[in-house]
Parts: sequence; C-alpha cells; structure tokens
Amino acid sequence: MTRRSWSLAVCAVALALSPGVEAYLKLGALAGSRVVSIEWTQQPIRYFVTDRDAAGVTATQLQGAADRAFGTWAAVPNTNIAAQFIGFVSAEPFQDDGISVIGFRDRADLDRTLAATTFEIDTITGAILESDIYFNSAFDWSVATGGTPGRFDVESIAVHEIGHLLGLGHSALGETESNTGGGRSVLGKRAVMFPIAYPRGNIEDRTLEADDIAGITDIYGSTAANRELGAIQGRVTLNGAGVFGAHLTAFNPATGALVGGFSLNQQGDFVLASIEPGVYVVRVEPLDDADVDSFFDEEPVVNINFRPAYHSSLVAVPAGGAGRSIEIKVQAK
Amino acid sequence: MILVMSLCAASHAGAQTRPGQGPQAPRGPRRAIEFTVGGAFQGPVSFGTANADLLRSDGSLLALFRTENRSSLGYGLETSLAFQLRRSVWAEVGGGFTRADLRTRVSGDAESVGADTVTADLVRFSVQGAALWYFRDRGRTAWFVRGGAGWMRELAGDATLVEDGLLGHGGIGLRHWWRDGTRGTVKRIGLRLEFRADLRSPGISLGDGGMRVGPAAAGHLVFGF
Repeated sequence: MTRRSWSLAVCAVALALSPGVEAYLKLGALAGSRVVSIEWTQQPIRYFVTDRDAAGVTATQLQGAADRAFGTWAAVPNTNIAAQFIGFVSAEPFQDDGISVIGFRDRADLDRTLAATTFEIDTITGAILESDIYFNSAFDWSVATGGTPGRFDVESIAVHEIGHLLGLGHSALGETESNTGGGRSVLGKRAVMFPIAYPRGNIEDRTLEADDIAGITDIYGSTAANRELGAIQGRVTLNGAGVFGAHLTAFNPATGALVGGFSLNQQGDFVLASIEPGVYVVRVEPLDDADVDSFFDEEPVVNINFRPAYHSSLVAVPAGGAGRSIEIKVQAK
Repeated sequence: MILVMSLCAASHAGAQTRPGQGPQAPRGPRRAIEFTVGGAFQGPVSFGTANADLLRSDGSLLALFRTENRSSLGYGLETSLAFQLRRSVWAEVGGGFTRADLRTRVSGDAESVGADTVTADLVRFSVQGAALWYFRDRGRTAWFVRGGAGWMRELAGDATLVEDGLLGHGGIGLRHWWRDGTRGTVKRIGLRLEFRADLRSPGISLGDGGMRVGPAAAGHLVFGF
C-alpha cells in the first residue's frame, strides 16, 4: 500500500486533480501509468471533531453543521454515502494520525483560505484512508439558520469541503471577475464545488446543484444510477489537435440542469457522466474563471488560448450509456 | 367481428328469398372497410425558452446563454384501417412515422459567442385508434370529424435517446371517391384530406414535458372494400 497526502481548499486552493479521461470532476490518482478515481471504499465514513471552539461557533455547533452537510450528500438519490460521528477529540485536522478529523484551526497566514481538505489515499486502489477538514478560525463564522451578514456560513463551506472529502474536485461552473485588491469574486455559479465561495452571509451553497449531484453519483452511484443515467463523451480539438483542460458545459433545456466537466488528456477527450437522459446543448470554453491550479496540478499544459464555442448539434443522452462520441472544434483566440 | 356480421347479414337475406326466384344481394346494413395510406405533415411546435442560468449571490440569475426550443416541420407516412360501425360512424386503427428536427437557437452568450442554431433529428412512431363521424355526405364527397388517441415512441440523435409517450388528435377532413363501384375486391378508390390538432406528451422534449399541441395535415389514398 502506498500512501499519498493531498489538500484542497475553498477560495484559494492548494492542489488538485491528476488527469484522467474517466473523471470530469472527480479526484484521481496516478497508480503507475493508470489513473484511479479516489473514493471511500468502506461505509459509513467515521469522523471526529476537534474539541475547540471558534469565535461565535462551538465545536458542538460545528459538528451539527458537518452532520447536516454529510446528510446533504447522503440524500442524493441512488448513491451509497453514509457518515458516522464518533466523538470529540483533541486531535487536530491535518495530522497524519489515521483518523478523519474536522475542526477549527487558526491560519491567519492564509487570508484567502476559508477551509481546506486533506487526504491520505492508497495510490494502488484509490481508496481514501483518512481525510481531514479544517475551517480557518481567522474568519468570522456563523451557524445561524438563515446565515449572518458579515460571517461565512459553516454549513455551506462544510458541504463544499465534504464534497472534497468524498472525492470530488472543483467544478468550473461559474463566472467570476477579478478584484482590484487581488483574488476573484463570483458573478454567478451553479455548483457547490466551484472553488470560490459566495460572499459572507450567503447560504446558497447548502443546496447541491445538478453538477454536484452528477459528480457524486459518478463516484458512489448505485446499479440503478448506472441504469437510469447517461453520459456525453467526445473530444475538444483545435486545428485537429486535442485541447487539454477545456471546460465543457452541458445544458438540458427541458430541466434547466447544467453539468460541467473537463477535457482531461492531450487528445482532448472528455466524459460528462451520470447525467439525466435528455437532449443537451454542449458548450466549451477556456478555463479562465478561476486559477487554473484550482483544478489541475499540471497548469502549464492547460490550453486557455481558444474561443468559447458550441457543439454544432444537440446531443442526445440515453439512459444507461452514452451516445456517439462528439467532436467540438474550437478556434484560437 | 366484421366478417361475422357480414355472414349473419347474408344468412338473414337468404332466408327472405322468395320461392322461384334466384338469390338476391343482401339488403342488410352495409359494413364497409376502408384502408388508407398517405403522407402527413406536422407543423412546428414551440417548446418555449430556457436559460442556462448561474446563480448570483443575491439570488438573482445570470444567464450563461439563452435557448429558444422547438421542433421543426415534420413529414412522414401514415396508414389506417377503418371499420364502419353505423351509417355515419367509423372506427379506425392506424399507425405511422414522422421525421422532424429538434431545433435550439442559442443566443445571449455571457462571453459573446455568436448566436447559433443547433439541431438533432427526431423520429416518431405511433399507433392510434380513432373515431370518425361523417356529418355531411354529398355524392362522392363526404365531410368528417375525427378524434383519437394512441401511443408513440420517439427517437432522437440517431436513435440514441428513446422515449415513449401518449398522443391524441382532433380534426376535420373530407373524403372524395374517384372510383365508386360495387364490383371487385376494391370497390372504391379515393382521396382523404384532413387537418387536425395533434397533442403529445411527454416523449422527447426540449421543454417542461407538458402536453404539446401542434397543427398537422394529411393526405391519404383510400381503398374501400
């Protein structure tokens, strides 16, 4: 068994995803030359909470928010996700101690990191062995039912971080603008797993979007999910060559569902998996609405030098499989 | 059932034959059968608009792009078999297939991609039952109203996506006999034209999945037996 540690954060992000054509927003690990998606192979996921309060939020309240966030993911239909709170401990998150810990840490030095998740995985099988989450107590937090102006919502950020804990990477389903003082602000997004949080006081990220549901179903979907859901597969090309790191969006006009994904190899191949059967508009754009290293740890090879475009046809998605592979041709900027 | 009724009518007529005369043609109620085959056109049906919306922090929506969705003019073949129940009332069973396109016009892109229309093929197979009432019968030409319902299977994207649904229709038409005889197996040949409203739900949709209504027209050759 080989162990490897990773960390992912919301707002400003440390590391992310290894490339693999089978995953579009799942985390993957290289096992030799093979990419394996990382996931929990034993349920329920047993977790502890650090017995330490932050200003305005007790450890008990943090545990309650984490419990609700786990419940949000567990409620996704046709998936197998369960979590169990074991107890409060003095152990800190981000210690390589063999237990999964959620807690507050004072990281005033990380002024753009609200929270972060770290993993220890078996790089042969992709099984997650341990995962910790810390919430940066240098920020002001709230667990109020309707949120609190001027404070970040613990449950919203917990839903995002637990998405990482379960094996999801970041989604690029959002539009942002650069701030004059550095960083980016969200103009709009449609995924809890977008790497930049809504402003203080907002609680929208307590609710999963179609993109989050597709991603988690792709990892933990049951046999019924495999039978009832479908996929879009294809490649993105520029002058005949594959485009790595292109961001794809599939939109179902009948349901309003938006699901995103990426081309994940040098051939430009992509798969948008676990989506509802139907007819989709497929759009592709460069990955320019967040730091590229929020998504990939191979930033230099991500191509953002092309114009957004639509696939020339509507794409029909059947239940239980994928239609014919499509090619989306883009033009250089 | 029609065959049994015809035989009963013949038997009854035979019992009325007077001694010394040859057999006469049956005088009982006529139970005719008609077979039709022809083409059909279905008008475009709007599925409405739908936006690919992102959610702003204040709860308002930011459109990544907008879509206007419809099915195009469709064309296909239909066939039916009609049985006369009463003098002016017929029952009919039939089926057909239609080809059309699903069309989505994409516009208003947040990153200024030009407006474009993307399409997918749509094929519909249907089986229906209907009732016809001939409310006006003048010589070779008769006017009717028709209503019915049935089942359909729709296929899109080179038959990648398959959805079943229900359909119905109501309309008005006329039948005109070119040849109106009494000899031979095919006693009559004519043309039937009709205009109708087609209803279908849900099938393959680019909209909310509710009932859709669209105009249709059909022209059939009619063979009377």
